[in-house]
Amino acid sequence: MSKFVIISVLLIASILTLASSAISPVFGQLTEHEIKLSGNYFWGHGFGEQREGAVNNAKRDLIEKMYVRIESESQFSERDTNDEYFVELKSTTQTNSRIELRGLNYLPAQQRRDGTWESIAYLSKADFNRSINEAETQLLSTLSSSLEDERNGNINAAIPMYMDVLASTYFYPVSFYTQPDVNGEQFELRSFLNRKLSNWINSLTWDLANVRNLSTSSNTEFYFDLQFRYKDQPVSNVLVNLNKPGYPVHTIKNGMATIFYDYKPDELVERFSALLIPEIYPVIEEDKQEILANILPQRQISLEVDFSDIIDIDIQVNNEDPEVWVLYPSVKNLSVFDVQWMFKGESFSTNSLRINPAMLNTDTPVQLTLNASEKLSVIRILTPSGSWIEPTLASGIDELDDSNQNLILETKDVHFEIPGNKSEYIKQILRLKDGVRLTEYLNRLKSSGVLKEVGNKASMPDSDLSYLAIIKPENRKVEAVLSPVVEGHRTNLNNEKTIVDASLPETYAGMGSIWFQFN
Amino acid sequence: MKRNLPIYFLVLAIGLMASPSSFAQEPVEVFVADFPNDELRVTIENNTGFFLTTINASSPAKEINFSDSERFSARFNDAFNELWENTPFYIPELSIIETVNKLSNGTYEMRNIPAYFLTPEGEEQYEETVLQFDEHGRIIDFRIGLAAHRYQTLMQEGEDDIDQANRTVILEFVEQVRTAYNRKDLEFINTVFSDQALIIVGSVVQKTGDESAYQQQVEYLQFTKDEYVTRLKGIFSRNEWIDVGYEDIGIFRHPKHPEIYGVSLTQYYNSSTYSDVGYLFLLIDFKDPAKPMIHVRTWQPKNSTPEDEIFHIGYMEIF
Repeated sequence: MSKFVIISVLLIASILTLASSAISPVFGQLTEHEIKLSGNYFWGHGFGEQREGAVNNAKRDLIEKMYVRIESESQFSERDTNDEYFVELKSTTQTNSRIELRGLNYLPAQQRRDGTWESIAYLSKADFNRSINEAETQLLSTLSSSLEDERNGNINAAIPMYMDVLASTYFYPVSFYTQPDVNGEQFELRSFLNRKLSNWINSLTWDLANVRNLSTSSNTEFYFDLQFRYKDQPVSNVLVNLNKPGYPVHTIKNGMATIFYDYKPDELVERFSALLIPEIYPVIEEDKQEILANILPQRQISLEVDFSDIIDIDIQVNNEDPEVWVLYPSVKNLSVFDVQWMFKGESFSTNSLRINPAMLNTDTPVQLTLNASEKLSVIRILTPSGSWIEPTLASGIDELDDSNQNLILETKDVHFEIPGNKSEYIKQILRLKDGVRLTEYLNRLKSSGVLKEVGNKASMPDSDLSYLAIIKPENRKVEAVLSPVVEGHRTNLNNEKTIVDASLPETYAGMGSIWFQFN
Repeated sequence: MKRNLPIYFLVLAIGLMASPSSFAQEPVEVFVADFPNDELRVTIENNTGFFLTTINASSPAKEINFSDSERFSARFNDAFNELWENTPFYIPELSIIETVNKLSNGTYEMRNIPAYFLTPEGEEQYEETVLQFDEHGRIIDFRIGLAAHRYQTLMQEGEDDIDQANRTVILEFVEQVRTAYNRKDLEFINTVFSDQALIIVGSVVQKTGDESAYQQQVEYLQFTKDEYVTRLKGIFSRNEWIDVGYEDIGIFRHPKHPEIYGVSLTQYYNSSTYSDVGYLFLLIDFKDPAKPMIHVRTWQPKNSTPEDEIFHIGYMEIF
């Protein structure tokens, strides 16, 4: 066969292929010309090595074009009113494969001259607007009942619905607006819901209700019970996660969450940071959950946890060897990285303190300070026989009797001024919240001559010279430190409030007190 | 080229006779869809229609006059005729509906214009071409583009708006480089290689005749830019025509230097005296987006290079 004939055959074949290769609809169908040029359709043109790839790319191209079109149409007003929304709308082009388009059609996919495929996807603007209107009606109706829930004080019912509506807005390449409010203002729905959810999570308040210690000799196991509220309502639909690697996420239910913690603290009060994460309701559809997981606001919070109730510090003495006694710390639930001893005016930084009993001819105070913290300090008095003088607290606190409870008591404004030379001691006393430590400190002040006397209330000599420390017997917490009596009143030095001296049994019913006088 | 002119005429003549709506006699109508500026749209439609209709009505043997300054930029005529002289073509569709995209440098681009390029042997090769317009709608560039499905896939792989914009520039650049070979445009090639470029050229010097895919004898040569341009000058003058095609394009952004991109592709090189298929790697520097620079060009023969030995951006050390 001559070259001429081969070329002729090839050429005729290519012309025949050419005639059928353009996207040409069957009778009655729309044409490419009508779809692309009439202005009545959103359309996308897709290409692929396979037919299926071309069809998928056509749909993707259609959606991207719709976004670009709607973005450019709404660009001016949105930029003017809300920058945040504009940025968001752009980002949604990355998640457009989830969008469902009612009324989506395709021209039949065609093979191209190079053997690849092409497809045109299109959507009538009239159909699109109709389905958008239906969606808008449904979203605004759900929003309306959610707002009603919130107004009725049921925020826990409203939040999941806000989330659902917010996620739904990502399925439509247009912006929706709220119904006009009392001032006639309308807000872009997605921004409105973002603000709602942000305000909600940023308004949550919390308290540490309890610290529980379930540690064993081999495992540290603490639980912090936290109470969360939104305004006056207990919170649900939120997760809380301590910012420590590997720590689990805890659910807040009916306002309560219990956080597990397994590190020994190294201070009486420690600060933790935690993350509050809105919980996505499992009833929300899966694809909406995926969207919400990326967009819901979160909040970092700071928790202050007081471990006083579960940390015990004491000093043990081993006096079996008559030549050398060994003193060592006895510590529960505390991570110890620094040990300091104070003995006979000298400081030692050793894990244990070795002393020669022959040097002890009188009762001698020994101070142990852990982790260089004044709050983690204990003073014990060692006798020449190698035993401790017990703190007076356990037996020395007198319970306040309430025999005066029927007296009519009037409070008047009496000012008590702490003497200047005593103010540093008072400040230190006010810092001590543990009754045992306070007693030890007072004993130390007495030993050093700062205090004239320390005792229980029954033995109090002059109320106008005696300060009072009020202590809760069940947990030995210091509730208050009161000034000496001035004109029948004492001043609570913790909060500067005045209290009638005779009302103490009523005010502090069931509590104990110890008094002290300065020299 | 001239040796094959009679066959060109023959092919075109048969083509024109074979269809009642012959391409040569019918105007090519162009419609721009979804374009917001009506005045500019009409200008682009008119200029493109005129350009494509003129091509179909022109003889491959003769230079075409595209020097009307209302429709074409000043440099367009010479650049186009360099291509036309080496690889003439015709447009097989009389009605084209396309979109026009605005590029980051303010120009506009219409892609996917179908064309059959005619080799001197009389074979037709289908390509999709690209027209570029200035802000007034005048045609400033015509080049052989990537196939629509490859272009769409590469753009979809863009990670964000910036990456997508960079990809547009890269693909435009790759198409320009490719078309420069078809046009034998030494000036362009001289411009895009940096003065310190590392250029590795390989050529298949002998086939063993063995069945193994990896047993071609390949000669590798390393050139400076000047040496490379001198060598190309010789190649361009020795060959009546050169046709370069690209497939399997991959775009990689350097993890530490986001303005540096690696482009890997399979290159089909055909000329009147030699042909090969190889993996081409270009390291392109977009520090000045208006003037991208090739710092590295390596070539490895396709049949001799196992997949895991193909040059990749990770092998480059950036200073």
